[in-house]
Amino acid sequence: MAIGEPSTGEEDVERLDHTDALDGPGGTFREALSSRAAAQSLAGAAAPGLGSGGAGGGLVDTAAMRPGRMPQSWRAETKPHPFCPGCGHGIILRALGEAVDDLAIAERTVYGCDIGCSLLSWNLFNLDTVQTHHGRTIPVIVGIKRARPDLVCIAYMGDGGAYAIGAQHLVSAAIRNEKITVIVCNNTVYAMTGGQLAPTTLAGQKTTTTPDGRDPKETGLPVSGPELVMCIRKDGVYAARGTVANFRQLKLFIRRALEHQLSGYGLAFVEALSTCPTNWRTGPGETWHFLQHEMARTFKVGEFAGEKGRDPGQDGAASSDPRSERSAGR
Amino acid sequence: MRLVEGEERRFMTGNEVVAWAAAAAGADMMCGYPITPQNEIMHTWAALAKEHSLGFLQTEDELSAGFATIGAVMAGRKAFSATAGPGNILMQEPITMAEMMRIPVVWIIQQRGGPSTATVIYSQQEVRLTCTGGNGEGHRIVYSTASHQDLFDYTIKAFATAWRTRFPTFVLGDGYQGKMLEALTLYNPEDKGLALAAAQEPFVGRPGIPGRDRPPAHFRNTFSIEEELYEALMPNIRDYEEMAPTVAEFEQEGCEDAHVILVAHGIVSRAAREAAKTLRARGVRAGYFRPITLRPFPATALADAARQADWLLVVESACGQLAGLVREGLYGRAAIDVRTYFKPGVGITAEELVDSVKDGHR
Repeated sequence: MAIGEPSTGEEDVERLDHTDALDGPGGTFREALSSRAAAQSLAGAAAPGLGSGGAGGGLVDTAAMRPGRMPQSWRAETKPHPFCPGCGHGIILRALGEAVDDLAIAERTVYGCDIGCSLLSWNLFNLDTVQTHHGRTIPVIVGIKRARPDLVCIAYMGDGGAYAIGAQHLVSAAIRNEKITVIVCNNTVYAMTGGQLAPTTLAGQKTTTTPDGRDPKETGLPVSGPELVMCIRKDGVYAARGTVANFRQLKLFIRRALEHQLSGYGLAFVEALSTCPTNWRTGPGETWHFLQHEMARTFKVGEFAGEKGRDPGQDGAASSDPRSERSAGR
Repeated sequence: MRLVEGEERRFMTGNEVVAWAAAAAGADMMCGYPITPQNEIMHTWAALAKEHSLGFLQTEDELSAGFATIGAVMAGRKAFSATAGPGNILMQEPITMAEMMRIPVVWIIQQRGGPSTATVIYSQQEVRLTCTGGNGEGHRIVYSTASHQDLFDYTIKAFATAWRTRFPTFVLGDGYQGKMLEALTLYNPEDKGLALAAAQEPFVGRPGIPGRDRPPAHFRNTFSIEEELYEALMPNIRDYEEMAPTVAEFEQEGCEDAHVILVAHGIVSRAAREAAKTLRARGVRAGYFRPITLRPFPATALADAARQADWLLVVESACGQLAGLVREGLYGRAAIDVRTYFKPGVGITAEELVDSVKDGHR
């Protein structure tokens, strides 16, 4: 489909949505938490609610079977997580955790996080994790994937790590079509460092380094990440933008981005519109408004490419080398 | 991997030697970025990688080359990188991550003129950068090579040292060494009973479901409060101090009764050694001292060698980087007149050193 006209994936979300009740078989969240913690022993007792997928793969919507429970791939010992009230990270990472559970890939997943608020997820998962330097999550994860292509490698970062200090690495991962999954939390500011201008700050948005609001004449306009990736490479890439305002859709996109890596097609990229009431200095209503009305107007939510795209290089496309004429014997 | 049968005399460039040595040492992956004068390390490795199914990735800059190398090591590979000059500056960022997290990595640095772009040719101006260039204490091991045989021997040793000590380990050469053709003997380290880099459990991706079959492997390089950092650093500092005397290396000749000792490292040490011999032949009691490890610096050995000398002449193709290490090493150990011969970014001959010493160089 043309860039800028994403599909929303709504029809797929509808099919997935068979949770009519919020009550799961396990009772309240706190009860689930304590029973989960008890079940997490190295003796390996199977925790309740683990889907039938097991280690062999297969898609099981375990979240639907036990709604309201922490994902298996989340580490109970480090909860509650340290994100601010109203932060979108917890929602994105929950979607990721549930997708990992559904695909049963925890055993072979390596998760990388950046500097900024994403670093607070360094011990959030029951997944092998490496917290890297700012903007350097992609190259570390690329190194891991190149060394062990059988691992599912995820690079998680904020909009600064992805589109500013790490832009070089995102662009190059797209150029080389690295077979990793990149997830970007876009909250339009550098949050951990105190709310500075970010590549995705909206025109007119006040930040600690644009106290009068972002002036496009001075600092341009917000960048569109998935569109950037699609401009560099369409074939073989999966690119989508979700929002913490639509959990099921976001989870669907993340799951597809992981499946894309499992299929070995190439780069999978998901940006998630997210919230930062702490640095936006907004109450709940204003936060929701900014996300749903201001951000959603600027950043189009949906899928930009399907996993159907294939990299022509994979099918042994004709190569062109300046020396090939000579070697052909002319 | 066995690249040669038994021992073989070869006439090769230093950069080629480095790639062969890495393969001989059991390296199975390199990530790199082009920068003169080390490009041929990558070219040679890329060809070896193709022939022997080893890993190779040319990345988009030295930042990603270093970080991807670290990722590869964490996933269980014996990986290395190489760079020079401004690339060495960029490489400091990933180096500090390896330093903090005790991830074994080998880097080969072929020094070129500095600062900034300067020349692509030669210098000894990356000593400070390579020894202590990050935002930490510089807990690293740096071997300064003087010949192609050194490049072969010490690249192999660097892997063993890095994987044994888990401190980032460097082979510090220069553009002359990288590009010159010189004779050397290639061999398989196993045939000489040399320890290869010890196999190690990967950091990530071990078998078992994390949180169920085994604890998840969580790695970070950031801490929330000062005391947390202190507790993380102190074991590293202790390990480094324990390791240092077992790793520090040097070479010396004629220091026992020397009146003047020429102190030099890397390729300049060849001129210093030759100058000392020439001076002896002309009746001057000259000695020569060559630190082989610049980090840890063989300070005690230098102090011992300098004990009865009247003066040292510190010689380098830089402007005080070796001299600083010498002065720091001697402080409190030996009081001696330290004179210097600096030619930043320019090669130094034995003849000019002989003249300089004979003139009572000041």
